[in-house]
Amino acid sequence: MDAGESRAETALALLAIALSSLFLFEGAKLKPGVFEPIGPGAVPMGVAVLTIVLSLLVLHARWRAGPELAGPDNAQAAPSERWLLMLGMAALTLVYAAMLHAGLVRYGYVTVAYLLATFLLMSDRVRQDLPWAFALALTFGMGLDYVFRYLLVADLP
Amino acid sequence: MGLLDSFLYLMGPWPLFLCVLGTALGIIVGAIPGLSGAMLIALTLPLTFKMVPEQAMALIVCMYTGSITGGLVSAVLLRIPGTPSNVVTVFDGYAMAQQGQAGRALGLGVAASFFGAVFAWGALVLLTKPLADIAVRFTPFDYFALVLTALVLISSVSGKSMVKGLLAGMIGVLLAFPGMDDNTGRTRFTMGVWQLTSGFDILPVLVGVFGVGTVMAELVKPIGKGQALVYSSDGLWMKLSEWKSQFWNLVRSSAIGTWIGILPGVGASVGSLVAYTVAKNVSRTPEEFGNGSASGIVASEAANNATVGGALIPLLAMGIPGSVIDVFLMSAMMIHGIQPGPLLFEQHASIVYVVIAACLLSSVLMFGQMYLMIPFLRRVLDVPRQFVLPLIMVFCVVGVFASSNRMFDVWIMLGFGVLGFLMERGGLPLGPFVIGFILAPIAESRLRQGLMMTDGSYLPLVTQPLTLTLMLLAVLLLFWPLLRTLRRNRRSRH
Repeated sequence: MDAGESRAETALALLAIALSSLFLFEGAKLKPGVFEPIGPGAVPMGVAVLTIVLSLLVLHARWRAGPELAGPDNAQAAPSERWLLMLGMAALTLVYAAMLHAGLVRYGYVTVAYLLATFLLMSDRVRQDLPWAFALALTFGMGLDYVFRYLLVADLP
Repeated sequence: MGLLDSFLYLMGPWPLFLCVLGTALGIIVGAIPGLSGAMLIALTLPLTFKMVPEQAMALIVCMYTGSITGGLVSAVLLRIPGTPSNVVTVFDGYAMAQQGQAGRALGLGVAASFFGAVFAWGALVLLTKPLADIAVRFTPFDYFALVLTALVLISSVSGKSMVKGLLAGMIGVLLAFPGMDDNTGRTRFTMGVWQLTSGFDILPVLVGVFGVGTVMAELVKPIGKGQALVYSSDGLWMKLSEWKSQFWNLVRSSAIGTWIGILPGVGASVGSLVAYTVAKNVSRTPEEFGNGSASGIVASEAANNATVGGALIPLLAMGIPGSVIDVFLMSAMMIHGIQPGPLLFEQHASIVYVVIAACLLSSVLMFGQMYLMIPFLRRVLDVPRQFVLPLIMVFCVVGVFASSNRMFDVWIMLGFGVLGFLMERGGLPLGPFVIGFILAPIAESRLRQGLMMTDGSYLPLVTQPLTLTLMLLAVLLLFWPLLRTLRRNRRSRH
């Protein structure tokens, strides 16, 4: 396991603890049912406690194995790791979803723009790939718009 | 509609077209490393809304079978398993291809896949109805114990660490709770978000975890293209002498695959690994394994395809998914208003028989299509990822949006995508997560139902024989790794 993976493991364990604490807090506010013995909060609270215990076990194991696994040698990301690319793609996807949410531009046009931007973001040879990227973005963007809007009768933005 | 009628129904032009298309798409996606059958089916689910349930089920079953087999091609030619269930095939498939026998390796794999799938189909036909008849008599406590055992079992075998497997399962269970509580009719854990009144819809969760999460993982750590070997079609058809020499290996590996498929949530990867290990142990030439052994390829591929039919048995008989992809089949049923469970045979017999018929039809289609598509699949492996990954994202977004016509689900899907990515990075298996998510409401409602029947007494958990057996099994599975470690430590001290 490299440093990135161990960080993801720690983040997940902490996230699970936070989520479980929220469930414990909310579960405690639920009143028991009238006709049933345990009420709607009991099982989720039990699961939340179990999740906290398991998360602590994962954190403990990580803490014990920490220096060897997440040491400086492993901290260097593998050359194939492309975090910036992933973050760029995530940002474009968030913008894409926000544009759809706002509903100001037709779905097909937003999708063409998103596909073109992401194709080129991932391309190593932007100039050579541009015609292909544009053709594919146009075909899929407008094609999906047609299929979902008119054939599957979805209420697309 | 009986089984024969279901076959006739699937032979109709439109259902047959869907089956052919589903199998072909499954094979193609299975062959591309990094993409999985689960992802394909997640993206297809929204398109099935407009179909009649029988056609939707047939399409998904065909995709399932195709995707398990498609991974064989990249395993043999690129040394990269197309799906996790083809990992073991790499050992001997690639070695045989290196010796200039790529066609033979693929031919053995396809033939073994077909045999395994048909063998498991036989078990599916023979075992499902009797098991469903038994399951109808389950008490709520029996059912609760069964779901608990299934969760522990999948957590213990998927992934390297049992604690991580359990944690993944528990996160899935936890996230299934928000929404309306069926027993009291009150909302819970919605944190004031009214859109969560009906809880997290299953589609955004599945598409997020398997679609968006996979794309993110692939972007950060792309699967290499591998060293492609020259493909020749020599030996693509398995000879009669090979059928004869491999017969017991085929039967044994298929039986192992079917049995492992029946175990809830275990799936094809474990099936092929166990069958391979057994084949190696009983072989007179174990040294050939890993160096291009025909028996190794046959064992792995027969077993992983046999898990498909095996995994459908608990799903159709009891409503317990036998594998991760069965979760999608279960979701498709729920989306079409069909409640999987022991009463499925009585209430929706036509669905059950269509699934069973589609299982066999997909095996036959897979057998034919693989032979036709192998030369073409070699080229599919070269499709640039820069075009595939953004398209998957677009399909995820439009599919989820179209299913409910609300952007809230798209945001939920993106959130679950991040969670799926983190889980993959952190080594938490996705299988227990989705199975926990889908089974938690059933387990909770059965437990509360049981407690209402006994006025809050937990005694039936230890006094009812089946419940007690299942609970003991769950405890044993939970503590088995600990006992094994203690025994190993004691042995090393001696």
